[in-house]
Amino acid sequence: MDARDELIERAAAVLRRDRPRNARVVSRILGAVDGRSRRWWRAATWPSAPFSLAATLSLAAAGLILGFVTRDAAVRRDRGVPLAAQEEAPVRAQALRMMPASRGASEATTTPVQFTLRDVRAARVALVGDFNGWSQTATLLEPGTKAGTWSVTVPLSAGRHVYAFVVDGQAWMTDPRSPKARDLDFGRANSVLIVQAP
Amino acid sequence: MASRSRRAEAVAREELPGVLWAIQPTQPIPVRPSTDIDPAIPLRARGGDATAFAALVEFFHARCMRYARYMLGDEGDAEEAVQDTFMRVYDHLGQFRPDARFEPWLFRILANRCRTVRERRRRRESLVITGELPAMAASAPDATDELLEEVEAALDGLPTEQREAFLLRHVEDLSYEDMAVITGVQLSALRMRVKRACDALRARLQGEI
Repeated sequence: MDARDELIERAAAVLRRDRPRNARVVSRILGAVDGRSRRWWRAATWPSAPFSLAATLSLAAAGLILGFVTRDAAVRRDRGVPLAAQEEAPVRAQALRMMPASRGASEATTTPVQFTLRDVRAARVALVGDFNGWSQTATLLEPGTKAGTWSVTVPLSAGRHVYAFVVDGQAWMTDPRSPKARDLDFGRANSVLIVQAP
Repeated sequence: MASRSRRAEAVAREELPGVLWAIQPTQPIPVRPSTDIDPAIPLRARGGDATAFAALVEFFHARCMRYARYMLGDEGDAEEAVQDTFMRVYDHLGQFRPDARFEPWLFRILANRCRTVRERRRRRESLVITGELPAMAASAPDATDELLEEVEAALDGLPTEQREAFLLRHVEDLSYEDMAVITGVQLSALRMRVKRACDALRARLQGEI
């Protein structure tokens, strides 16, 4: 507990003096917001209570088997496989390795990256990241033939991408096998993916 | 039933007080109302309600300006930090958890924005040296302003970490737990910062206010 002596209280009271409403500041803020596009947070949901220990452990267990997989688009393109076909039949797992982007003229700016998750309890898995405006509805993982497996392939541009998985619209999961990006303002980590330039 | 005692009869005749003793505080204990907003409002803003977001700005902007101004010592820099703060709040409300309190979440963003603006200004000032007084020192003084200037000057002499801790604790009335969320610093270190800030202010202001 603080020793709130009289002198400090008086100094604090002077500093605490009510400041009037600053109409210019309010107007500037609301004006700037007014012209801004709506963001992903309109659709976002969070659990109303902290995770239970059991839920946390299950998430950790799921995280241990979580991975993202990339494939070498350049190699596949050299074999003449069109991009659409690549997305329909993504190559499986080479965890944590960024593939070089394609050298094709029209698709030179994106590399298909496959994200996979194994979570037998999940009923719905979404991929959220800066590449889809953190939308929980834009990129849903498809269930695989093996129970509890989920995957999706996303064409990504070269550079740094921040992402996470959202399981059942509630649990925000990072990828334990990839570096984490911690936002100082919000205190929550996401995962980082670096896609190399062609 | 026994008849009323002599004292009870005296109380009834209003010759004696009904309560024999009471704690008489020598000074009224200041009780400040909660500084946080109705938790339903951030949730409505999070759901896309523009009116609720405007209510957040109305409720907090003056406090944010006060904190930013004392941290940065300049009205223009404070406005920049506060506007930037609310932009980030707007963009990232989806990351605000419904079971969390809004006030420390907001002040965490604000404290970081103040550090960013301060660092930007430090780099700018290393390139350009101006002879202008900061805006906060330019107004015509009256007795209250002189008092404020005295305290501000003392506050300005504190290291940034101590000033931040003092403002959050004694001016914004936040708990040490909230301060830990805002600053990312451990409770014991925060307590030490507040103590050192108080010691320094006491030494500087003794006999002045």
